[in-house]
Parts: sequence; C-alpha cells; structure tokens
Amino acid sequence: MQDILEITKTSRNMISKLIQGYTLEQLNKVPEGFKNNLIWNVAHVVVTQQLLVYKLAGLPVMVSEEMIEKYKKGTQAEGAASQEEVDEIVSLLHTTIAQTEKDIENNLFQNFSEYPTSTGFVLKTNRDSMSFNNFHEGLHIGNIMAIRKLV
Amino acid sequence: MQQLLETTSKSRKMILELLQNHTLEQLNKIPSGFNNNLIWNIGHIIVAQQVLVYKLSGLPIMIADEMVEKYKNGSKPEQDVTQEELNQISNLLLDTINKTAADYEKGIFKDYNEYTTSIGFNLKNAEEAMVYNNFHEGLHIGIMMTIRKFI
Repeated sequence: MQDILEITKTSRNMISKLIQGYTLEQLNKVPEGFKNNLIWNVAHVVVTQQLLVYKLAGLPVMVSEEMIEKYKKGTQAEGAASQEEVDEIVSLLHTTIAQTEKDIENNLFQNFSEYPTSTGFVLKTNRDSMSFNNFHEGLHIGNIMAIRKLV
Repeated sequence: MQQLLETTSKSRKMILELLQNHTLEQLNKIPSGFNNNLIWNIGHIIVAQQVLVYKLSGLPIMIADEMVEKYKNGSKPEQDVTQEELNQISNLLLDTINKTAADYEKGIFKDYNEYTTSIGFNLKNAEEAMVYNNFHEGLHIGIMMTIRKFI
C-alpha cells in the first residue's frame, strides 16, 4: 500500500502548490456555471480520503463530523470559508497523509466494508480504496487546475 | 495489478461515455482561456498509458508515432480531429487496456527504464507506472469535466 500512498503524497503536494498565492477571496470564488470553488475541492479531497481509507476500514477519522458534512460527496460550497478554516484544511492536506503512512507501517488496515463508489467502482479491499482515492484526487486536481484559471 | 487495471478500465468507460455524449464539433472546441479540447485530453490519456506502461518497459506500443507526437506531454491541439480519427481514438480507449490486461497475464512486463514524471514522481516498474497512470487519467477526466461546461 506504500506504493499507492506515494502517489497520494505527490497529489497533496500538487494541490498545495496549485493553490499557493491565491487569496482567501479567490479560494472562495465560485466561477459562473460551477457549483464549487477551489477550497471546497481541496477540503473534499481531504474528507473523501478519510471516509474511503479510514471509515470503510472501521477506523477513526482525523476530521470533524462538521467538516465531513460540509465537504462530503454531493455537497457544494455554501458560504465562504474563513482564513482559519482554510489554514486548517491546508494543514490537513499533509497531516492526514503523514498519519496514513504511519498507520500503514503499523498494519492498521485489516478490515474493510465493501463499497460501491458513485463512479461505478466496487471497492473490496483497503488497497482498492487507496487506489481509487488516487484516481479521485486526480479528478479534483483537474477541477482545481481549471477553476483557478477562472477566479 | 488486476485491480489497478480494473480502475483504468472504469476510467476508460467514463471517458467513452463523455466522448459519445458530444458532437465532433464540441470535442474539437477549445474554450476560451484553455489550451486544449476534449479530444486532445482523450488522445493524451491513451498516448500517456502506452508510453508509461509499454515504451518505458521496452515493449512495442499499439499506436502510431504520429499519434504519440500529436498527444504527448507538452503538445496541444494544432488542428481539428476528423471523424475517422475520432473513431480510431474511440476504439483505442478500450482496446489498449484490454491488451494491457492480456499482456499482464502473459507476464511480459519485466524490464523498466526508470522515469521521473513531469510532476516529479519517480517510476521504477510497470506496476508503479500503472498506479501513476490511474492518477493521471483522473486528472485529465477532471479537466474534461470542466471543459464540457464551456462547449
């Protein structure tokens, strides 16, 4: 699973770089025709990894219930995120993956509840889930790359 | 490995659906502010998988050099794709991945020329290339999902 996590680490570094230098206003701006903004995409990536990799493994997540409700699948940007929230989201980008790395080393990922994703993948193992998560992060990086041209 | 290819196969089906839901004109349209169009992203995904998984393994690729040149890293659409080219791209989407699955079963992926991707990820074998490739496909699907709002 470490090989798969290496991509997730690269993905997180890419996301941090992509939003670097953007103001709070730009991070919160929902371009016309879009449902979401840059910061929603970033937080959604963080929340989704926690749900796919931890919750489905029956392990505790590192993010608050409130954050999950705000950024889980099917949600959209409702009201602007504060600077404090942005700082927390950006910090979680890295701390969640550093924790996953430790948890892989400690063999924490033993159980898994089978799960069909909205894009039609059926996840059967922790490895499937981490691998799908990379595809999912790629998808939102693509969104972020496009949205940042429009804010 | 099987599961990695299953992700790629789902990714290709998502792309095929996207392709089938747009006209040739829409597929060729470069929205203002963007460097490329839907069909370039699709051609690029096919070429990238062939180069990452086959060429770097020292194995023959399934596509013409001309197509590689047109869609490789750093290229962009120079002229509209014809209906004939579109049909070919559409077939290659699934054919290339079916071939990879068959080739994997035969055990042909043995050697690999280590390669650092444009986002700084170091690939050491064909399996890592496939893990990275899934992330790469996700990224371009994300971009396509944005482009389609503007065509």
